[in-house]
Amino acid sequence: MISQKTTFLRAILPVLLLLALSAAGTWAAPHDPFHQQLQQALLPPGDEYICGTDRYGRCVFCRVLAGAPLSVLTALSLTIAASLIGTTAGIYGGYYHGSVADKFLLHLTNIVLAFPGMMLALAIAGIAGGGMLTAAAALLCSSWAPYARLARRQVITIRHAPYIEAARLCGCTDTEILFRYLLPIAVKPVLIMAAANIGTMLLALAGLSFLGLGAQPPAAEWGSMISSSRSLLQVAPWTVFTPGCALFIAVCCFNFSGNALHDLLEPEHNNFLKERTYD
Amino acid sequence: MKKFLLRQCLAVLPILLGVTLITFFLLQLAAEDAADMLYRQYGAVSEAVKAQTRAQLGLDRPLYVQYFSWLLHLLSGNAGYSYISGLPVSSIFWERLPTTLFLAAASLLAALCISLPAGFYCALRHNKKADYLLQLFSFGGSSMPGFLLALLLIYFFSVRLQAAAVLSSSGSLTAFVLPVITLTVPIAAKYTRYIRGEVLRELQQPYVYGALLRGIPKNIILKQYVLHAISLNMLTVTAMSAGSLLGGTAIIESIFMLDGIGRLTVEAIVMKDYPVLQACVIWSTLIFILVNLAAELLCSRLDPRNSIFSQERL
Repeated sequence: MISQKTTFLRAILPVLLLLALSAAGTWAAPHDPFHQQLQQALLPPGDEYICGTDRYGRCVFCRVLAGAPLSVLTALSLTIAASLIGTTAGIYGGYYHGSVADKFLLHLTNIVLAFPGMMLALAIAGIAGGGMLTAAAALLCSSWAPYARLARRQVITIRHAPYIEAARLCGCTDTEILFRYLLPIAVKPVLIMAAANIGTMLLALAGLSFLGLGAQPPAAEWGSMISSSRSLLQVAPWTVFTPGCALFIAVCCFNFSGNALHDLLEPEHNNFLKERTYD
Repeated sequence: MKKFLLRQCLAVLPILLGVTLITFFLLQLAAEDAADMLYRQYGAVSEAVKAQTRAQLGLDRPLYVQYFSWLLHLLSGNAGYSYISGLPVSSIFWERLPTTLFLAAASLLAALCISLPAGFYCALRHNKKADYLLQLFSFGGSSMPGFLLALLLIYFFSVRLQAAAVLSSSGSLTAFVLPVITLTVPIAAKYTRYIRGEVLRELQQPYVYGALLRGIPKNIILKQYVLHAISLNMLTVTAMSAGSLLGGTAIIESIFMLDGIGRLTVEAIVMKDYPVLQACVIWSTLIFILVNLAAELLCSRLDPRNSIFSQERL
């Protein structure tokens, strides 16, 4: 049986590592990620440049490092923002179940969830014009809804639980009940969902950048780096696969943490599976 | 049952209305309107001429009037004309739809063919080496960015081995091999994990023990009982994936230059061809909603509990 502490460490370590790397970012880079030297263009990986250079002679490894804050921190803060907005809307709607505001929020949630995949984010980012800020706004607009639905369901199921009624009889105001009794219940599943979604958010952000709707060159965002050096696949595959691997590793780290956090917060889910065998 | 069907179908209407509302007002965010776009190719055109065109097109009317007239046109099948080619938007859309539908269907089918056996195998070899190995693969597969996988496949199969053409003439099936693999991997990975969990949970159920005690062979229990039990949830999940495939293949279609909806959307964004963009968003959302509705109705048909207890659903 793995102890809770190990699970927690397992959840937090990869993400801490990633965050440290993103915080180090440009500072840890051996070369200037934006310095162009055309005579050094398209050098294969070697001693001087660990992952080679791109078409402008910039160090690919340094650019990946410099892009880490942009890619990782944006995805992280977007997920936090989306889950906060969604949870607030969900808890509010669930608590005032049946009110006009609840109905409005419920319909809005359903409508946003009705758009398939990245369609809504694509359309918003496309119409508002490219750029990291609009891409982030587009993703925020389309990703808060699942949290709202989840939080609303949680709140509705416990809204009339005896201890909530008791709190109300004791004279607690609505705000107190919302924050002290309902929020902690709704937070756990939302946290699990958010942790599982950071990787998806990272991929969506990189995807928008890849299509030219996110970060614009010369910004060192991983998706736009892959997109701009896509034509060099034949001559200089390292310019494509270094940022690609970085993205893959980052998504793996977040997904791994998400799984571990799930195990930590809902251990009964796994324990009962582990105890039985079927032979 | 009929009442339930009717209610489900009616519940979709406000969502559809909301989708058209959002899509319409989204376009109002754009910096240029139709008059600007129509005169784009003629260089500088005086504001007076543009104002006249706006009056002709009805763009000077209040927004809600414009919305309702647009909605009426949409309902009568006229979704507008492309700014670029001048063709009716719906004909452009329907022309591109089969490619995306084929991509989605092929990759879903492939993903199911891989993940069903893999998921069952994992569940039966629960916490053994093979299970861990497959879990590792499925973890990696679900963390893989689609465009990275696409470029990796192109690099190995087309650049290194020269085994597959990157771009085949559209219509030939070989053009679809790499994109289908690209789309299949993450879905198969996700499904394998999901099926593993579902089967494990199902194997805990008393009816499985009952069947085992009655001496029913294990493979019959798996094939007939457990498979049936998880198929309902799988149906819902597959419908969700079908939707995200309809709206999420933009990147893959762009990389492999396939003429599908995703690429049409991206092209419409780049060319600022807003009527086409609008049509892509609305039609693909409509298809997504219909697919989900069909899945839901099918579920309630297969398992009547869903419609009986739906009164209590939130």
